[in-house]
Amino acid sequence: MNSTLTARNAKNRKLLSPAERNLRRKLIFQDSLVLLSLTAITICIAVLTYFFFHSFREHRRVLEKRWFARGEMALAAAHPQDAVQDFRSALSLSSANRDYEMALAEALAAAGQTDEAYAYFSNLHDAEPGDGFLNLQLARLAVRRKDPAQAIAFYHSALNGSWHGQGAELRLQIRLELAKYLLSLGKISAAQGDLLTAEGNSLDRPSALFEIADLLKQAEDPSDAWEAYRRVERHSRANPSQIQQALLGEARAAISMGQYKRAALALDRFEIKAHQHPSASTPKEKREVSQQLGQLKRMLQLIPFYGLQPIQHAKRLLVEANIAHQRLQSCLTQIQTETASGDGGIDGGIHATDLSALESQWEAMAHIQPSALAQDAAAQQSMTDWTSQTEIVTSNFCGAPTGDNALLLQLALVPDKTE
Amino acid sequence: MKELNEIQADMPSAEDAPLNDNTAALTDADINRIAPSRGERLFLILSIFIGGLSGLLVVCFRISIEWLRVLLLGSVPHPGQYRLLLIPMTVGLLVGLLVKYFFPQARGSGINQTKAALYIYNGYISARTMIGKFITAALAIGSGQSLGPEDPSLQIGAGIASLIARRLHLSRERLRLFAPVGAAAGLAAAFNAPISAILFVIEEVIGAWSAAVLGSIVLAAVSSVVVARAFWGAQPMFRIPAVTLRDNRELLAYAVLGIVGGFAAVMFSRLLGVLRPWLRSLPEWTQVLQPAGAGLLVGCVGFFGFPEVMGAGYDTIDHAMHGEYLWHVLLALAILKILATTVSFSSGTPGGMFAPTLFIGAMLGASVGSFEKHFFPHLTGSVGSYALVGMGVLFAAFLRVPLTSVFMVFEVSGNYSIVLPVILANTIAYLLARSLQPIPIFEQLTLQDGLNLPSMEEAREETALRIEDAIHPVEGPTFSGTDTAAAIAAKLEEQKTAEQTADIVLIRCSSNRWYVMTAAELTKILQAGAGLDQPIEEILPQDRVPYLYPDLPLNETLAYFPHWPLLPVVNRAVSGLLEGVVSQADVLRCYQDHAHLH
Repeated sequence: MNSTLTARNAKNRKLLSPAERNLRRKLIFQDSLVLLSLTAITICIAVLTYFFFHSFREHRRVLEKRWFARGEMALAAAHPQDAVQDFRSALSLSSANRDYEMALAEALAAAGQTDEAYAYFSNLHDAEPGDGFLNLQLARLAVRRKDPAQAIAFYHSALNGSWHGQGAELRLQIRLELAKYLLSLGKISAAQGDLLTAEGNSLDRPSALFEIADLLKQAEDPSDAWEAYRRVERHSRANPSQIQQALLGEARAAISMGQYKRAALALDRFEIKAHQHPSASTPKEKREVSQQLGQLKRMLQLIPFYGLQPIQHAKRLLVEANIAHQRLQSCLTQIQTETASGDGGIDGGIHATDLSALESQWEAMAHIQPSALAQDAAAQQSMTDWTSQTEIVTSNFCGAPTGDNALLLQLALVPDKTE
Repeated sequence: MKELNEIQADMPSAEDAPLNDNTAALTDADINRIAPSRGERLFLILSIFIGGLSGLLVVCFRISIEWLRVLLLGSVPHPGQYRLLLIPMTVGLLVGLLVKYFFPQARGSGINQTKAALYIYNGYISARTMIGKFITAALAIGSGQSLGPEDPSLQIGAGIASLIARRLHLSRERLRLFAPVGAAAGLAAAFNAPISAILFVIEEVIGAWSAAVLGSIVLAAVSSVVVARAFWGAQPMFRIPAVTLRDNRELLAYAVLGIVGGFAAVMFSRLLGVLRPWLRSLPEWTQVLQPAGAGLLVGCVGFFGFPEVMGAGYDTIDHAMHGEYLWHVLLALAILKILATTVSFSSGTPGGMFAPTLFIGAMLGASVGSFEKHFFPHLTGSVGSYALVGMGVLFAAFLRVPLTSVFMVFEVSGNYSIVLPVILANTIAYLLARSLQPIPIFEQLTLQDGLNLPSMEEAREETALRIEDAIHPVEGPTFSGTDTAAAIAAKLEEQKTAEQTADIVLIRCSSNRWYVMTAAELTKILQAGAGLDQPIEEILPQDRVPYLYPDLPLNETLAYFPHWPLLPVVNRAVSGLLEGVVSQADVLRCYQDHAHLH
């Protein structure tokens, strides 16, 4: 191949006259000169372009930083609308800057531009779907946009997403936030699940546990709430205020469960602690606890516990029934008076009939002796039912009861939970 | 446009001077003789230089635009700033004066000027035009006129190519080809997309795949992109979000985007078709003021709430691609950009339509995507996919470059998974726009300028006539080369009818090639009387009809008619097998019928 080319070139050379060969050399020289000049010109233009380019880039960098700093200041001064403008400006000078994008999205959210903020965060989320922070922001925006399905999905993604550094603590906060959101939506069982998980993740963090316990109580799970308050109490040795609050919580949870003994014990301990650390609770709290403790103690005197001697049990049933009967009679008198004066209207007659029915039931039970009652389980149940029914009916017709009747009504409303 | 004779007077003439010591006086023929491969080698080497220099100039051009923008409009223009009203108008006046009195060739986008250089002025683009384009386009775009820098970059590239080529005394043909080489380099640097630039130049400027120029175009485009990337970095023009096609049902939404894009392109095209000629028909003195008027209008759009419409709008495209606007804002931006660009471009302000086209497409795409995401959240991929496809849609429908539009999206996104939506939407938009607006925008502008440049879209679709279109079956007798003249004469006598005798006889010679013998030729042989018993091919002259196949272009036959009255057409598979014949009359008739049909 090479030899063929060489031969062809040699033939060409041979064909050219000396003058032509000379011209050819000149042509090659001239072309080389032109190419050299072109190279020199290219280098010169490249150097100029380099300086031109870098001066502009530097200027741009200064500008974008200035806009970003202004945005941060505006945000700190609670002027999110100004911050939005500033961050937008910074971003238009450096469109690939994630920090600027994030700042703008946050500013938009703070400025109430929910849809735009959502669009920004969605965009960032597309690039990093596993980022916990972005998912959390999207969840909050979805809450604002009244899109519970998206909000819950983003909350879960935030929980499963990556958090740099303080992941455990942040996840706990997000779970509590999610639980509150679920409670606000009325999704009690879902909230309970998240709260129990949160409880398991925060065993050594009393303040978090305390919040969880409160939420559990709102989530109609007094049993777990009581446990959580107990844990708070155990883990808050150095914090008398928190112990006292936990004891109050325990008492309330126990009352919700109908466990009045436990409640009374908790309140007893509260009083002791309050005595030891008077400044850890407010006088109002102390007054309320004292009052509640009194009621609980009275309730404990009234309640016919299953552990009592049969005769004692029967006596308490009779005491309760007598209290209820007195309430019934006074209610009946009130209704009859109102009916007679015409204040009770048509309903007054119906109420009187209902109450009279209860009165006639009472007459059937009124003469039973404690010893006989102790032997008759069916009669015990009838009496308990009658007492509960009387308290409920009289409270409906004659207003909220007070004193022992109020306690009996409370028992009547949670009969199954009562110890 | 500058008059042809005026430009030709500027151009160096190729004189047929006698060969002397002065290389400048050498003719193309002389150079071809003493250095036959010089032109080709220089063409390739210069392509690299053209690419490098174009890349540098385009970087400078873009930086100039950015600097001017920051200096004139502030780092980030906000609605309500009075300079948004004042600056585009004042700079528009300056640009108008510059274009009117110093750089008349700098007017417009630059694509038609480059085509004119290729087809009319033998590749000539003056240095003044190039410098003028640089200055006026930078001022116009930097001051906020709704135009883009790509088309001027293309002309700057073509200008630098023309300038360099002229210094080297290359042949007229090569000089002409340097313009598209430079154009590809300029566009590639401006776009940071070499393949799209190459395809655009082939699709819109040259109009055909030419092996002679393809290598140089590729070299120039690649070297310009290498230079541009040394400054801008290798990342694409826009940050490309995750691009996916989640669900095939989503293709329906892309089809909708194709329809929307098609209508938008037609609207844009028609507005330009109405406003530009009207503004050009106004008195001469108003043309200085027109860019100022356009500047004021565009400034008003920015002042009253949409500064995104001002300038090329790359940042806005980038933000739209990342779903940072709401769908109704995006739609408003697309409509306002169509209006602003129509006004800016029609006023004769130097600047291109590529960036506005991309802008409008991205806004429409993102708008459709955002709308769908809002109402069908589980169906859509990212809004960025729609913006990206939207860019391609407008590119295909408005600029009428379907192939470039598809590759541009691939190149810009670096993602092949978007192939289906792109092809679907682009095709719908292209077909829709073509049926509603048969004249493509570049042709429209050329006609408005009083030029008659070839339409690339028509050229692409032109059906070339082939030999098979004119062929007819053999009617006369055919003989073998081994037959004797006497036998042939006897056979002809036998077949002779009362009305006619065979004027032409086809003889298949032993090499499977055909000889077309006239009756007069046969008579002459018979009258000479010599060798009548010999096979006729031995008596006949040695030339034979060249092989002509049915699929060859019909014009290939024309060269042979002076020598052969009838041309046998043979089969490609079976050597020498006759498919039919064509005569000059057949060919002419075929061309006439074809012209009649079109």
